[in-house]
Amino acid sequence: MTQPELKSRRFRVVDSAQDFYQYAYDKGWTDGLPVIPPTEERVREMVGGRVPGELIAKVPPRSGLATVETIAVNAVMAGCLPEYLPVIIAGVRAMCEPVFKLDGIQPTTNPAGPGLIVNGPIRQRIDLNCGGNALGPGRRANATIGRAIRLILLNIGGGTPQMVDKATLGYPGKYTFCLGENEEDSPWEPLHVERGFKPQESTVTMISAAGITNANCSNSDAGEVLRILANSLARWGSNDMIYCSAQPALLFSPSRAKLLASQGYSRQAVKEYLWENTAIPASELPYKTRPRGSAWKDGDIARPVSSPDDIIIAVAGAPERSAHVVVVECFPDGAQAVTKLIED
Amino acid sequence: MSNDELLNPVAEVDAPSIQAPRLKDLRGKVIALVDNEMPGSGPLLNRLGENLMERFKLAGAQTIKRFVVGANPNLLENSIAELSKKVDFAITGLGS
Repeated sequence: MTQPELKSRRFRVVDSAQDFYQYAYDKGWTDGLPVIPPTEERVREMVGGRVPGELIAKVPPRSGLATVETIAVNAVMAGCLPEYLPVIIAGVRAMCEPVFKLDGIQPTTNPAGPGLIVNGPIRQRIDLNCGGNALGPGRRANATIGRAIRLILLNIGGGTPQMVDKATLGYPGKYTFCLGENEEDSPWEPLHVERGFKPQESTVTMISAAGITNANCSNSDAGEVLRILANSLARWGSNDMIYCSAQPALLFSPSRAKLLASQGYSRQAVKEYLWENTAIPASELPYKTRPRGSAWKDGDIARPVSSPDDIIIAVAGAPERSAHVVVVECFPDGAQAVTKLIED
Repeated sequence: MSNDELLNPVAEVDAPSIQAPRLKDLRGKVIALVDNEMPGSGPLLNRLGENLMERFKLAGAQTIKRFVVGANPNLLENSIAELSKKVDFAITGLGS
């Protein structure tokens, strides 16, 4: 059977993988780290039985055509295995939905970039880390799926640092930000089920992660834990607190989630507590105006979110040794998390 | 790897140039200057509005701040619909 044509432009780099790394770096195609040469054989293996020319999305701000093939080329360069591709494709679909506001995230001065939370059975099939160090180094799927998204933002979306990506400092999560929800150690229903999917389905929920803060919640009282988290969400200087229209995420370690659940807090009850307790009279804030110049009015209340449902809650991390909750600030200005089905 | 043919990771683009409909005559029309509230945008837009008023004999120039704030995806469309009841055309800018 004739294989479908691959339409990417071709080039040759003589000699070694080291030469290709330097060539790709000089072309601005990398995140600075070494990349795998995207030979036709590797790209075909990545594409698998899919139609290479299928358009998945147009990636802003460049409106680059993210086809199965162009996504696959960048996935090869990032070091992905072929079985990761469905996750990346779903991630591209998610981040290119207009409500995600990728057109604002790509060029922003904020330290913002897409972050993937994966749910469902695909986590086991691709050995995606949902447990200890899920946001840290050590697991190929976590490291390279998030990295592929970054290369796609760069090579398809045109997010070249300091030309289009105007981040003041950026943050390390822009290299990669991908983890699975630890559904097995969670007392609550999985994130994707809360968002309307079936437990046996696999999904990506894309958040616009703009830095993380660790909250050490070693207290044994649920109320105290929630007070700590409310303070972490509503801290002065947080973009979410200034613009009051974000969808921040809380990544609970299993033990902290179980502590709250054992004292009667459902996921929704946690959200409602945080909604109630992150409100600060604007008159108490140490700034009279928002960064863009509009003044607070008398009686204004500052909150990081517009409603309790704008708080994203997932459970991840080591099941036993964890007093920690990671608070993920997200891109403000009304950017919304988006969940997409993984079709594999 | 030795002189293998490699595939370029940079995708083609599909970004057709889209222009809003142009008014034939600006005389007597009202313009909205949508301020993204980045530093310096206010004075720049005010000056732009003054120049347009004088040069094209506009009926008015309104500076709009906090055009869209909030997480509801319908807010942008609603804001545009409301604004279009008040003005004939608008100018905005993007970027930092």
